[in-house]
This record gives sequence, structure tokens and C-alpha cells, in this order.
Amino acid sequence: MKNHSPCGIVRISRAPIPAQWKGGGWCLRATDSTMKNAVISWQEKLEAVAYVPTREICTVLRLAEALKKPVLVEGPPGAGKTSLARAAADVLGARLIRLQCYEGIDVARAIYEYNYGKQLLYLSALRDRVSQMLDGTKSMAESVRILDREVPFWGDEFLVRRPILEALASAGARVLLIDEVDRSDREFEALLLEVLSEWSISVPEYGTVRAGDDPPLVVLTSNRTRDLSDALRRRCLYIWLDLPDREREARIIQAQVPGAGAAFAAKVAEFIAEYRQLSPRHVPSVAETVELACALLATSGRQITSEDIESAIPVFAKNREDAGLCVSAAERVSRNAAS
Amino acid sequence: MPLLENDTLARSLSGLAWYARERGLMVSSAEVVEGVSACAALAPHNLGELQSVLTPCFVKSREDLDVFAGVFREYFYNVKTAPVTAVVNAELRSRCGAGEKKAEDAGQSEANRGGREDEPGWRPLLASKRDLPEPFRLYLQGDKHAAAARLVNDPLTDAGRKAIVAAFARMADQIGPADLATIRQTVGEYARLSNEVQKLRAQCAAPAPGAVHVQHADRHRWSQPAWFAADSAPSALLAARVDTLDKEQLALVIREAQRAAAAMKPFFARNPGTGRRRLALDYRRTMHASMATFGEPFWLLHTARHRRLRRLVTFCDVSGSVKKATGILLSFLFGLHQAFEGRARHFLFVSQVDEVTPFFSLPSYDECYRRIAGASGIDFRGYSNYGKALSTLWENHRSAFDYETVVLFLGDARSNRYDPRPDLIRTIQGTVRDAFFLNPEDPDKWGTADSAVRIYEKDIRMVDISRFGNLLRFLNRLPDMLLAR
Repeated sequence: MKNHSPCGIVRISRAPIPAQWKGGGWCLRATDSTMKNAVISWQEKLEAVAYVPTREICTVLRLAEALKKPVLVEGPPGAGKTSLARAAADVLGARLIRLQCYEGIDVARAIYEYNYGKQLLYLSALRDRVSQMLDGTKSMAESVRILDREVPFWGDEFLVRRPILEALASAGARVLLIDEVDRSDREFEALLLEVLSEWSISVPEYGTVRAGDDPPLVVLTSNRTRDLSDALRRRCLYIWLDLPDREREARIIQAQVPGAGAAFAAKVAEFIAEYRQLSPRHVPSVAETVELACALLATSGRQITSEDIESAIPVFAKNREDAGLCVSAAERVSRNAAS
Repeated sequence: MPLLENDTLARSLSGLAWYARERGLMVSSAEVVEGVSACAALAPHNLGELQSVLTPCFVKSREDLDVFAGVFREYFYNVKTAPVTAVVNAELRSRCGAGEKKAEDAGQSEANRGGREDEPGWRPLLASKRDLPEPFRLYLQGDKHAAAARLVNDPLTDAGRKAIVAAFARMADQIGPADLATIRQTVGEYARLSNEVQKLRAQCAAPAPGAVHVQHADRHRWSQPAWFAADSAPSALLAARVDTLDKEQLALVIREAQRAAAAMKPFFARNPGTGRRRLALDYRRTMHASMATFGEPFWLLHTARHRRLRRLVTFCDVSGSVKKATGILLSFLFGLHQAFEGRARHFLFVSQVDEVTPFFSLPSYDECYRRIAGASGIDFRGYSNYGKALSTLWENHRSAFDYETVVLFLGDARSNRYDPRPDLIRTIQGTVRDAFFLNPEDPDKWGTADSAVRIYEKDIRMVDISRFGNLLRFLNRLPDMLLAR
């Protein structure tokens, strides 16, 4: 593959590029449009549930579906990472199982736990019955065998399924959202590795639980408050989800705010884009943009003036310093409109 | 899929992965397999589609997105994003491959030649000098193993360094300008070899009798929460100004700092002790154990409270004006480093920043200090440039800072008229849990001349550590800052 010329310049001999890949643009032959169809199919389905995706989002979801791999979504807060999981669940008609990560989350909160209180209660209630049952036994091994058979204290009855085990063990379509995984400890990341690569969990008292041929769609989100380990990244498909540009944000507003026209949505999106450019301390999320659009639509109808925006400041400006920036952004938008 | 029949797809993707690795983007074989599967599933029919299919498989962080786009473009479209850079890199590679040959082409005099055809002429001349250290002579003769063996018992000392410099100076008229690069390379390699040998020697050597072995000096239990070290240190030492300490006092102060670290170490350790006051009721164990007795008697079981350490990042100026204070702080942190369980990172700077965390795993502080002084890429004789250092730190090591990090800056905040970049201090302070600026300069001088103290103190807490006692008092607060309860 590689050789050095006498002057030291590296030459690389490449493998031949498949002829089908040469030339740009979409392939128009109906038989060759698998990817286009797959992406468009996901796009239409997501738009049907009021989520406006990018082409990358559609590709990743299709790949996750085909390769049965988890998806790691990184991006700034409020870019729509959690909504993506919710929308994917809606599209697939799946149950959304959500695990909110936090500092100190452990196996008992995320995967499984035994209901010790219930075990103790049962044991107290059944003490006499258990004694009677074991009366005739001749050895300890026999007693244990009978106990295991008759009173399965480590079976399903007493196992409390936390979100990850629930997602693996239950049947039907499901989407597991592991939200803000960067907030958890590094030790917890290690716990996830077996689940994400093998689709199984080993419970010492119970055995190994496998998802079988129908694993859930797993979406992990991260705000990058810390670096995730390479081991975790390797197991996932990766997508970076940034805050939307004006055009996409306008489409989101149209999709999510009933009664919002194209011009109105474009104006709100333009204002928010101008405001974000002023680097406020709290950068408004997509959800806040939608709330702003709702507020403006409710108070001022479809015509937006800078006074209307000022009155809606509490919806999206969450810092004292940011309130001043709102006025500047509104004035700038008005100036642009006038010019 | 037809594309897979003659394995063209697999070969193309392997080639792309190999090319990406050459460009610094690590793509594993598993990811190549994943890429092939993705192509099989989605059947891309042009390069744009192929790129969007491969991106989620090959790219695992945002920083790599642009790198991969460039690699893909170069590999499939044969478009170089920076042709000039590529030419320069190729030129550098060719120089490294045939550095000595280039020197010949540059018209160096034949008088300097000798020995092998590609060997620089100054080498045999220098190797024949009797006043050079023996390991260096062996190294010049090309016998690196013998040189390393001699370095074990005959390490490179200051006198040896001076002798090497003097030998070069004596034959200055026989050295051409084209030789300078190879001389620098040879001397640098020899210094690295010497450092490596000394590191191995230190690892193998038993501690000297009576020497304080800091990492194992955790025999004292942490019994007093505060002022332990400050009260037990000699009062004259506590009141002494850090910048006026003489060599003897400095050694004493460093020993006191190490003692303080040793006393504090168990407090950071995982096992907090068995005293009942530190235990908490363990519901799960209590229930579990009570099942054995059918709940009568119902034994309450306790467990040690889970103690988590926050992460610590130190960013220390090691320019001449503050290096004493930095030495004291580093000696303290060296004693505590292992207790942090990999949750501490240390950076030093003058105008360049370098991470020195790995040196904190060496067996003794002296060794650590020697390695820092000898091996790290810091311009110790330069002028400190806080703005540049902070910007490098933030750009290259951003992952070191998160909501669980406590940051200690140490320096006199003398900007030397460079831009102090208070915005970066503000950003870091906003990102991390807590940040302190430890300043060893006399507070009376804060804010005078080129001091950026008044600029920085708007965003970060300034701590006066001009006296050893002040430093110890601050360090005694570390457990409270670093233990997440």
C-alpha cells in the first residue's frame, strides 16, 4: 500500500474505488436507491411525529436499526438529543424506557436490585411452612435443593428490574434512553460495556439475561461535561447533534407549534439565531424556541414586533445579563427586516 | 451484495482506515467491519452517501469529524486540504531519512569526514577526546548498549555536561552550520538515554537507609481535621517567606510539606476507618443478613460511608520567581498523588505547558523533580506567559476540567506584559467546581507593575501563600474541598 520515493515523498497506492461510487448526486435507478429510500423513510416517519431530522440523524437511526448497535448522541444542551430518542420510540411504536444518569448512580439504580424487604416478609410468613417442608430431609444438600425449588428467593418474584434490565428482558419494541451519561461516574460506564456490546447482563444470583435477537434501540446522550471512555465510544455509532440552523429551526417551529406559518416561524428562528450569536450566558434550547413561538403566537398573533419579543423575555432569557442582549437581538432583527 | 463479491468494498475501506490511521485518526479493525456491514445494509451509491454511512462508524468524537472529512476527501477525491503542509512533511521525512547525506550536499568540507560514508565528520573527532565522559564517548562510537551500561554507574552529571559543551566549543572551527542539527539530535538522544537509565536505576534501587519514602509514609492516622501540620511545624519556618528561603530551609520546608501530605493521606484513602461515627446504616446488608435469622434478632449492619474524591488539576508556574513555592506544593502533592487514585493531573508552564502527571508515579520526589527538570518540554529559562499557557491548557486539555474538578493555579500572576487572558480563567472557573489562585508573592506587591492579580481576582479567589504557614493552612483545607460527601 505504501512506498517511499527516492526523494522521500510518500506514495499511496489505493485500492480501486467501486465504479458505483464515482460521480456525485443521487442515483436515479430504482433498484439502486436503497440508502435514499431508507433515509427518506426515516425522515418522513420522524417528521410525522413532529421531529425535524437532519440527513445524518436518519442515516444513524437506519444504521442502528440495521446493525443493532447503540447510538451515542453528543451535543450542547437543548439540541434535541432526548427528543430524538422519544421521536425514535414514537416512530418504531416502541416503549421508551428512560434512565436518567447522575453522579453516584450504581447497579442497584440502573440495572437490578433484589427486594430484600419482600424476601424478609415472605420468609417470616412462611417460616412454619418451611420448617415443615424440611422436616423429613436427611441432608443439608437436600434441604437446599428443596428450598430452591419450593421457595425461589432469588427468582423473578423478588428481582426488581431497573431500566436497563427492563429494556433487555422485556418483549416487544422498546427504546432505551440512557440520558446524560456523562454525568455518571466512570465506574458506571464500565457497567454499561457488557450491555452495549453483548446485549446481556450477568446477575450473580440469577444468571445471565440476554436480549436475544430483538435488542432494544439504545440511545445514549451526553453534554460532554466530561470525556467518555474510548471503550464506550467504540461500542456505539456516533452522532454530533448541534443546535439547529435557521432553516431547520423554522421547520421545527412549524412542525411543533400549531398555527405557525412559514413567515412567522422564519422570523422567530431568525431572532433566536441572532440572539445566540450574541453569546448569551444561557443559550436557548430548541424547546425554549418552541415555547417562545407559542408565547408570541398566543400574545401577538403572527406579526412580531420587538416589543412583543421583549415581553417574552422570561421564556428564553434565564440570566439577568441576557435580558439586555434580547433587546439588542430584537433591534437587529427589526433593522434587518427594514433594510 | 454485488460490491462485496470481489471484496473491492472491503479493500477500499481497509485502505481508507489505514490512510486515516496515517493521518492520526485511530480506526480499529472492528470499526472497519462495522463500516462494511453499514455499507452492506444501506448500499451507498456515491461518495457522498458513503461518507455519511461511514461517519457514524469511524468517528467517535466531535473533534474527529473534521479530520475524517479531510481524510475521506483526500483518499477518495485525492484532494489535499493543505498541499503545502504535505510537501513540508514529506521534506521533513526525507531529511530524517537521509539527514547526514543532506549535510554532504550542503558542501561541507572533506576535512570533517571520517569513518562511514553517512557518518558526520565531527563524531570520530569528538569521540577521540579523552576528557569526555566515558559513556558519551561510547555513545559517539555507536556502541549504545555499552554506553547505557556505563551510565548505570556513571550517570550524567553537571560536570559531565560541562565537559561535553567544552569539547564541542574546542572543535568549533571544525563544525559546519549544517552539522548543528545532527549535533543537537545526538546530544538530545544521549540525554534521553541517560534519563531512561536513571529512571530504571531508581526503580531497581532500594531506598537509602533513613530516607523518607513518601509514598509509604502513611503510618500516622489522620487524627485532627485541621492545622495538624501547621501546629507541628517549627514556628520560625511557618513565618518564613517562601521566596527568601535558603537551600537548607527549603529542604526543611519540603520535608514538612511531605510530612503534612503523609499525615493527610489516610484521610483520602478509600477505607475511612472502622470508627462507628463514620459508618452508615446499610439497608441492603441489614435485610440480607436478617433473612438468615427470620428477622429475629434484627441486626443492624453498618457500612463505611461511600467517599468519593473529586478530581484535582494543578497548573503551576515554574519560572524563576516562583519555583520555590511550586517545589513545595509539588512535594506535597507528590505525597498525596497515589491517594487520588488517578484523579489528579499536574501541569507546569513558563510559556509552554507540559503535563507532568506521569512523573508523580516515580518512587521518590527527588526522582520526580529530576525528571520534571530534565525531561519535560518546558522552557524553564523563559518568561512566563499566562495567556499563552492558559490558552494551550484549555485547547489541549479541556477534558481535564469538569464539574467535579478542583483547580489550583500557582504563580505570581506576573504577565510580563503579555495578554493575561482573564476570559480563560473565567471560563475555567465557570466549568469546574472550585478554583483557587495560590500566589507566593508578597501581597503588598500584588497589582503592581505587570502583575495581573487585580485582573484575575475578579474571577478567581486569590490565596496568599507568601509564607509557609499560609500555604499549610490552605493545604489543610484540601480534604474538605476534594471529598464529595
